[in-house]
Amino acid sequence: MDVIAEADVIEKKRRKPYWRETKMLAFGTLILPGILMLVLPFWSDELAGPTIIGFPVGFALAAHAVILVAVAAVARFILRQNEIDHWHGAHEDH
Amino acid sequence: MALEQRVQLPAANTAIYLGIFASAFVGLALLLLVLGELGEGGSSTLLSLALAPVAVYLLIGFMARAHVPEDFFVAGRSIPAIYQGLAATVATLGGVGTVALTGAFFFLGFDALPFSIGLMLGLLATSILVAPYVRKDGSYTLASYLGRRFDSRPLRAMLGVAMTVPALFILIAELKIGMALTSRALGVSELLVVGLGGVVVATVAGLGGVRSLTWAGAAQALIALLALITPAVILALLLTNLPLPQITYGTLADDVARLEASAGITARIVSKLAISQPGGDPELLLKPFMQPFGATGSYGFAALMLTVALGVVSLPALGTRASACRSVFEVRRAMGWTVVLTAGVLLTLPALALFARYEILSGLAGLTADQIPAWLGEAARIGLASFETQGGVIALDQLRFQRDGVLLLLPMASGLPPVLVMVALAGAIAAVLAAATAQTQALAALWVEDIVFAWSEIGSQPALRLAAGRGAAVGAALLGTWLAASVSADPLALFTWALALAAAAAFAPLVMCVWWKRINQWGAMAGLLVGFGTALFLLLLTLAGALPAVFERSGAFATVIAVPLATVTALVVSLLTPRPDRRMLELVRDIRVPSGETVYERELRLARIGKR
Repeated sequence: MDVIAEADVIEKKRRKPYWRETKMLAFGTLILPGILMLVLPFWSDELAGPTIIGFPVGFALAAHAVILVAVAAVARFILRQNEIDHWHGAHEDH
Repeated sequence: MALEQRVQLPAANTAIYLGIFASAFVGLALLLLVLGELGEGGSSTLLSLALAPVAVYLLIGFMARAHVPEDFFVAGRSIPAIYQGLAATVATLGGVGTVALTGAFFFLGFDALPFSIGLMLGLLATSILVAPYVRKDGSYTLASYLGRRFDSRPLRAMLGVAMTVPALFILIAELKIGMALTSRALGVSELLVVGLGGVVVATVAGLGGVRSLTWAGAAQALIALLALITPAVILALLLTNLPLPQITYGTLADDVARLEASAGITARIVSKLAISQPGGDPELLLKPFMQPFGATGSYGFAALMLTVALGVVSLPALGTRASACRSVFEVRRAMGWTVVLTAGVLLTLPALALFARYEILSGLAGLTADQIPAWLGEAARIGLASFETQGGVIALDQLRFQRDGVLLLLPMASGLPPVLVMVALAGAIAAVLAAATAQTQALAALWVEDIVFAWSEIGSQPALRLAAGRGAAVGAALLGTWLAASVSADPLALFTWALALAAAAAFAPLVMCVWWKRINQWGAMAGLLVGFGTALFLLLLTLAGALPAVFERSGAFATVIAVPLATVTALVVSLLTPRPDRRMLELVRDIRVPSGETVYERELRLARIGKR
């Protein structure tokens, strides 16, 4: 009847701390970069004057910084989540 | 016999094959370049550059054909991360994200950024919130994933129907872009082009489903990336002395601003709610490239950004790709590659657009009517541009360009050899085919797994399922081709409406099903019905012309209304109805942990021994 028990690789009592850390990482990775990505473009009006390597700073924030924030966030997420998986024995054999 | 049928393309060899393919393409381009300089090789030899890769995609599709449903629907769960990343990048961007988006940057400059920011945010959210859990569940479609998660076949069938709409919209949009661009560039009829495109899509998707389309997609990604990066690097070297277009195009900003001023393109102020998307006909340049919020207001900008982000998370074609990866860890890596490669493309597109503005405006400034360059005459003849002369001089403020033609006009206007125009066309064809095939397969999987076989035992009748999958793929490709040839709609508008509808239908249940374990099937179903119903209602009202102009040509405000409504509905209905039972909670806890066999395989195994 209990279909889960047979494939229960990670012990039940270890699931809670694993999920807590995973959740913190997910929200940590999404909230700060997410807010940055959503908010940076709206400073471009004020920062249209000063330039950096030719770009108005506001444009560079929206066109370059936002994209680099996402790349950094996803890289950190992958590395950290893998650590969490291994620490709690929730990783796959590969 | 059975063993022979399951031979996989080994990954190490695949890298070599793809390397040979890319080198052969570059070699052919260089050969044609030399022939062109020698005065040999007319337009018919150039044609081989656009068409030869298509033959290779067909060959790859044939080599990777599927023999069992697992190959057809999830590529035998065997795709290494980097190839999945390549294929997912080109299939997500497609012709809309390369050809049309370059055009949008050309017209709007800063105001086209909601697309790139939304795409990045959406991919980031997919890799964290959705994709790893879809892989652990192991389902063939997002609808079966949610159906299994909530143990509800009606929910599965409803999602199967709802998800059909956005997938079909994007399929039509992609085929329309490919049709318009290729037929104009090669001077052949639109029907012939879209027919051939439909045949290629049907063949690749029908032969091998996800397996064929992922390996063909990796090859298509190489061509599409090469086609975008080559002109950008050459022009960056010529115009800014450094072959890094992504960071050097700013040095041209002052020159472009001067040219814009002389062409009468001045800063504009629009309503905060305004959303501007250039359409299908040749249009005037709207606003200075660097000016923020001159065509799309700041609220419109935010709404469009959110639509793209939430829509990317909910697209049926992207989430399902996770199931084709080897493991949950590989899914995260594949999504990481997707984010990195997409970032590379999205940093390059504005550079191409700015170079195009610079080359076109500086090349045409002050020319008299008898000095009209050959490329402009040619572009006007095939409907990619139009111009007027005033007092014997080309009027810069009357120059009109067609959005999707900008990528082809750039090498023409900068005086680059015609080979590069063909390379750009080959890249556009690759991107269009990759996205169209992915959507076709998503449609086939939804129809077969979630509608036809929704009520049958898991994994039953494999031969019939495979045959139905092939038939559905061919049917979806034909339907898409027919609609692309007969419906008149702008591809970019179709794309944003597809994202809005996908987000409205699936975003709330898709994210909540892992991250809020109290949600039950009633909540998910109510969220789906309310969200999708609202978005569809707004779309129909827009088509009837009953809504203000801000809704026209973009579903952005539909998302802003429908997604929160769907989320609140799912929350309230879940809380008002009984808690999910113990089995369901165990299932969620299981999906959350990467290790162990997939839920799909466990259920299949239990069904086989008749235990469930």
